[in-house]
Amino acid sequence: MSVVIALAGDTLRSCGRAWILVGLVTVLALAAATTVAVIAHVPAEYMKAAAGLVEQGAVPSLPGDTASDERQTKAAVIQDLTASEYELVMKDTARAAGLRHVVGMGGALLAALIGVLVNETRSGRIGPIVARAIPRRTVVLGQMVGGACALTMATALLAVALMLADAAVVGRAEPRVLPAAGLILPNLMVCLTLVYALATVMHPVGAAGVGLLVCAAVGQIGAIYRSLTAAEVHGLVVDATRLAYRLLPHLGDLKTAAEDYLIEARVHIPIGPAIGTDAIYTLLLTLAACWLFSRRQV
Amino acid sequence: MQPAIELTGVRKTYRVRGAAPVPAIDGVTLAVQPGEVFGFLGRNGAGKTTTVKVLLGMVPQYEGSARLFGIDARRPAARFRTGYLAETPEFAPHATVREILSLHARLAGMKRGAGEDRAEELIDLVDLRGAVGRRVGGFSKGMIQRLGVAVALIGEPRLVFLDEPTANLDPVGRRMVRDVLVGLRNQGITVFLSSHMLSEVEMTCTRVAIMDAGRIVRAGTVDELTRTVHYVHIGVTTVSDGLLADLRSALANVREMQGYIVGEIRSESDLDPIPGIVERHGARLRYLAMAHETLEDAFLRTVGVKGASG
Repeated sequence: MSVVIALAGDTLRSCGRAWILVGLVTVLALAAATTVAVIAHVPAEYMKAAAGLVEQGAVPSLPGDTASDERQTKAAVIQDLTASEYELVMKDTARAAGLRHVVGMGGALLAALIGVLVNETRSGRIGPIVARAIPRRTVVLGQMVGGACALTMATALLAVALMLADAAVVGRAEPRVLPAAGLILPNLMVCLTLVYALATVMHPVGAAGVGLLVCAAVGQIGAIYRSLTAAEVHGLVVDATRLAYRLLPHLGDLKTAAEDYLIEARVHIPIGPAIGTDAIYTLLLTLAACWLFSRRQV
Repeated sequence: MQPAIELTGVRKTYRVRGAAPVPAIDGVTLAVQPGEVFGFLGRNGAGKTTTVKVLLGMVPQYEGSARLFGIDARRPAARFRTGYLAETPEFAPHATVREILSLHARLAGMKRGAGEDRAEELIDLVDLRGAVGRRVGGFSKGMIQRLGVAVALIGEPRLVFLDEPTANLDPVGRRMVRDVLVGLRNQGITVFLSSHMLSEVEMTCTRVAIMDAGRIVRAGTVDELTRTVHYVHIGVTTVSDGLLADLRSALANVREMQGYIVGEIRSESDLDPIPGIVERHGARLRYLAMAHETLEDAFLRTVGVKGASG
């Protein structure tokens, strides 16, 4: 255990001093501030026009909408709002967008970068470590624990940056950003472990690219499943999608859950099972990384 | 006594796409006893580094048996109190000397206080006191090599693998490594030294093996390897073709160098006819000197390189 802690501490320190990671967190924090500021300053009249478009079905949906009747209902509600109420909706939407795109997508980028940074299994630095009397799985665990800590801290920093941006633009900080960001974290852990496992057997840049693509694709499976169930399609397609939905991590659910948590929509989302599934996949990917590394020549 | 290192018929083959499998090491068998400083020589690509990696569990799949102190080298327990210096050591560029040594002390299972004391001792030994707070990213190759030596020695090892320890080092650094090797030998610590610096191997190693194309082609003490052939340096007033022809009939490998003649002899009695031959050709013998073959000569002769001479 002390070896895992020592390796995790070393990995965390390396992450903290990696200018590329610090730079990415800074850029994402600035992006958070910009996103909130830009969207929050869109005039309310634009929102009215947008509501009209929603009513006509030209705009696909607002966050959380799936069926067309829900869109119609929401559009009708928006049409009835006053100008100040529109602004409030805008600010809420800005928060949701900030969380989704900066903490969600930015977090995935961070997870991929950390996954690549902490994986030293292909670098010359691993030689003196592997030559010690420690199993290779301990090395992987140490680096993964360090990476997970770095990712948690980076995500927390992003969430705080988002809150500060919110406070600067809207006038009050939205504390629920933090639990929402925490809800996204299990997703990001899956992404981190996937990229780490891939980086054990392929070039780190390739591993980051493939990992992000897989996470993005898997993240859509929940939405695809729901839309297919709602639409009238062949039962076999629905069954196949349902199977994929059951097998793959429920990334889409957690993103939706995070947004809904923020905008306080009451949608039944299987948060618990989704987090559990993410934890299982994180564990399986970690085991895969241990197995791959134990078979590799260094 | 249980050998510190024991390789039996170890064979490792690399698969290359579109080509026949390449054997990196091919049936290597050797044993190193505790307390020996063992020199492992060979040309680039001979399989030295792969052999070291097999012994350190870095190559999981191979044929044959590799053991450290009787334990299968694949098992982590075999590497208990083992130090390793890679051919080109690399360390996290953001870390300082103390941080790296502290990490390796903990990985080696040392208590925090003991590890810190040992780190300070080694910082002085490898002469990095002046750079102790600096990040490794700004270090020269020589400084990284010195740090690598300190990392190899941090866990108070009973067995140390050094792969080209003097690469990138200036003469002062090479001297430091030589002193370290002598110190380890005096403490009874087993050293497996892979090096191209044959003069250092000759000075520090108790036994040597020469590897070529993945096989051990020669092994023994430095004396055994170098005392099989002796050279005689013959200084004469005038060199004629007739003199050289007669010397060639008495000695092996006779060549004319700048102002003197060199030949190979097997024993001192081979020197006896030389004064007579020189006199017969009207020349005067200025000196007759006998020299041992150096390890470099023995190495070059063993791996089949032309030009090995005294």
